[in-house]
Amino acid sequence: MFRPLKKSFNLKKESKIDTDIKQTARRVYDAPNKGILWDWEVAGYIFTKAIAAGIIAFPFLFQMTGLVKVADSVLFTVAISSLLFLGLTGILLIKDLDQPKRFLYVLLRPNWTSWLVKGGYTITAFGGLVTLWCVLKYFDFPIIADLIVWPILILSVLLAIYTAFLFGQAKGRDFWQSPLLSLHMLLHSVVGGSAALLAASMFLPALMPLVPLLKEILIWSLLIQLLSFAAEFLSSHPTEDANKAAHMITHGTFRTAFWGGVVLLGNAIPLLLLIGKLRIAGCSRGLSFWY
Amino acid sequence: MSFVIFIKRIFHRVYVACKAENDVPVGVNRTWVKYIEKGEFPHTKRFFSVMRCNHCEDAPCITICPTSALYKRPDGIVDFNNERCIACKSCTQACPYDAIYIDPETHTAAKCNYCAHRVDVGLKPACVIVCPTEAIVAGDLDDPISKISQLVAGNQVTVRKPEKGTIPNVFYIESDNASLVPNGFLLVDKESGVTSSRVVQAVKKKFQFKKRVKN
Repeated sequence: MFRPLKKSFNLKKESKIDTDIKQTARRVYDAPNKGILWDWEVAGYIFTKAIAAGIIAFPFLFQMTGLVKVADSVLFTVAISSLLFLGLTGILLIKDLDQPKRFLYVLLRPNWTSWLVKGGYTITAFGGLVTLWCVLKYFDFPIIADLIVWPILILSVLLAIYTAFLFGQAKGRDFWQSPLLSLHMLLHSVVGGSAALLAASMFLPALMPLVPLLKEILIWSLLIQLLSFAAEFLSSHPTEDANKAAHMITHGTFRTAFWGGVVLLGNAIPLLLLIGKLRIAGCSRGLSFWY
Repeated sequence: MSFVIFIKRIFHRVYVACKAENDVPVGVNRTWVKYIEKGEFPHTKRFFSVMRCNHCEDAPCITICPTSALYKRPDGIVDFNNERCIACKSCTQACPYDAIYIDPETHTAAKCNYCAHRVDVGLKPACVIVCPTEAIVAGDLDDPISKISQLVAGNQVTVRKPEKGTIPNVFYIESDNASLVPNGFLLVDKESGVTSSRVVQAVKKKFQFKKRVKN
């Protein structure tokens, strides 16, 4: 039986219908959805940037701390590889712009509060120093080259994590406000770098002295990464939108990519293969490299 | 500079006036009217709300913009300069109100700029002038005798997403909170036109309800 709306909205005594009305709000007309604004180029740039930072950091760190004696040819190869991945990062960043011809504005007309500018300068400084290191090594100035290794290592950490601060500035994206984001980015780089080096060791015998230590690093970083996923997705988020986003990843649209790609293929299987010391470790390296 | 919006007086012409005044292309909007429905048939109610840039005091779009293409004018208006914009779309990610879009003609970011070109010559924004019911009031909150100051002081006002700490400057009177931050949502696939499963479920539920009433 029809019930007049006026009566159902009596503020003094709220009926069950009033409660239902309040609980069933739905959007029926709105501005068109803008779609995905940061598409595969941004995901791709995070991937290439993580490898660019990680692939150079470990051999340089091992060499400087004396943990492993690394051949100059290996250092040179990883420096060039890092520059290649950094170049790819730059190409993807520029490709994502709707005004690609203006990309230099980031460096020439900077707004210093933006982490996009700080990141742009980090990429430029990192690329510049690695190039300088290669030039110094090539023309045989080892002492000066060694002096810039520590700045390169510091910049590689900044390169790995600055995107977390950029995402933190994106206040319209609640899920990116996670305090664990910089840890995720750092782990991403550690996993990407160590897995890429392990995969490369199948073709470059000069990398073999690094393999035992890289395996240890990959095992621990995969383990911590899985724990960080658990911390991120098993805990409650401060806003409803962040909870919705987490639910979409674990139970919604992205569940197959997350559970199948990220958790299983990208972390759990490589971890089990590495821990089990199976002969097919090469497969695990490939998987870790990819995810 | 701020806006006060009387939700229950809203007309669609504010949206049309904005489109005409700023030559906003088809498919994108600087301001728009959003509909929310609540309840199950026949006990339903529809709410309207006007969405736009909130000209925040602490605007995250200005903070994140790498080239200062988005900036705050001395009068508080958050304006943009499309000559500087590189269209990195970071501002669209930073805005909690989804008020910024990429103009399909200039390929740069754009949004409500309080009709700054009109304000500069002493006129009010187009949406304010066109509304026959004075649903939108624009003015300076720093001026204690302005109409907007008195409205904000004398009414219960709401802002969108205050928890973001952006200190928005668009105030809603007689608003329904769900119309500003809805619990339900509508997602339509652009290509196929298929609605999200949640909407489909809601429609199915509505039909089941009708069937039950009929029986």
